[in-house]
Amino acid sequence: MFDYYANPARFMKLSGVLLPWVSGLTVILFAVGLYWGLFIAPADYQQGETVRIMFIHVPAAWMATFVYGYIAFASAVSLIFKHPLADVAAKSAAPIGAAFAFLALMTGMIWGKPMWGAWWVWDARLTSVLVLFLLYMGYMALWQMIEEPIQAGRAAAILGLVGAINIPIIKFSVDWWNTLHQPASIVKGGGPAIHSSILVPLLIMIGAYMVLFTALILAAMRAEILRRRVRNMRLAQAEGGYHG
Amino acid sequence: MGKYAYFIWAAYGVSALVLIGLTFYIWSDLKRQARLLRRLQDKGTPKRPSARAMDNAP
Repeated sequence: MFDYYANPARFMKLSGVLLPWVSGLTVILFAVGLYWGLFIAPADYQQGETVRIMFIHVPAAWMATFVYGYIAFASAVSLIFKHPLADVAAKSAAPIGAAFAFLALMTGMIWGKPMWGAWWVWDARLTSVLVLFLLYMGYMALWQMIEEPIQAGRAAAILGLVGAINIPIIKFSVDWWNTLHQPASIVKGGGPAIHSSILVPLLIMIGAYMVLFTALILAAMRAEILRRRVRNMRLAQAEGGYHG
Repeated sequence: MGKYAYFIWAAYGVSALVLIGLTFYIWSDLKRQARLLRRLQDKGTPKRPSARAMDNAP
């Protein structure tokens, strides 16, 4: 089934049908999540009103690492099976992941100032997320540097896989090193350490970011497939036409 | 939101700006590539056999 839908022509057809529905769901989830997070959820007993930043900080941070995992998986599929859509999937995800990593850093800094008294500290969690952002930048630069898509895809796939070592470092940085950043509060042994009045809007916002990513990746992959078709037609033109 | 309102709205503002900007960038790229492809097809650019195969392989 994977092979069937991974055919670019079929992907274009299916994604064209899915995209309006996924976009609509994104708008609904954001509307509900933002209203709940900003106006219904109570202030935290320790962090006060600043806890509302969590509703956009945690989803951005989760998505930044998730999207890199997605790139690493697509890179492995590209290198092992040489699947035509795997490169397209990985390349298209990079700017989206970079935006999430940027937002995780920015919202974290804005949250850190009132809570820690500093915009930035060089601790393990913050530094490893900054490295993730730089990895995204390097990955995108590599795609830009090599003009031929197959060669670029191969080089980028290697970087995508090697960079994946940073994902467990980010996840466990709060356990392995002393850090100002709070430890895991949702995915942890013994269940979430957050009250449901805050956990529910947080999960809705994580869902909203996840569905937004789905909408954006579908659109970005469609654009990349079209870009490659345009490139092929221009190459045919440059060769002076082929009367076959 | 009390004394932290500035921080909270700044965080939401920058998130809105980046996510709306990203959506607009991807959407306009999709429209641009579709327009370019249509223009080339309208011009009747001949397809090589390999390019025909690329309709099914990006």
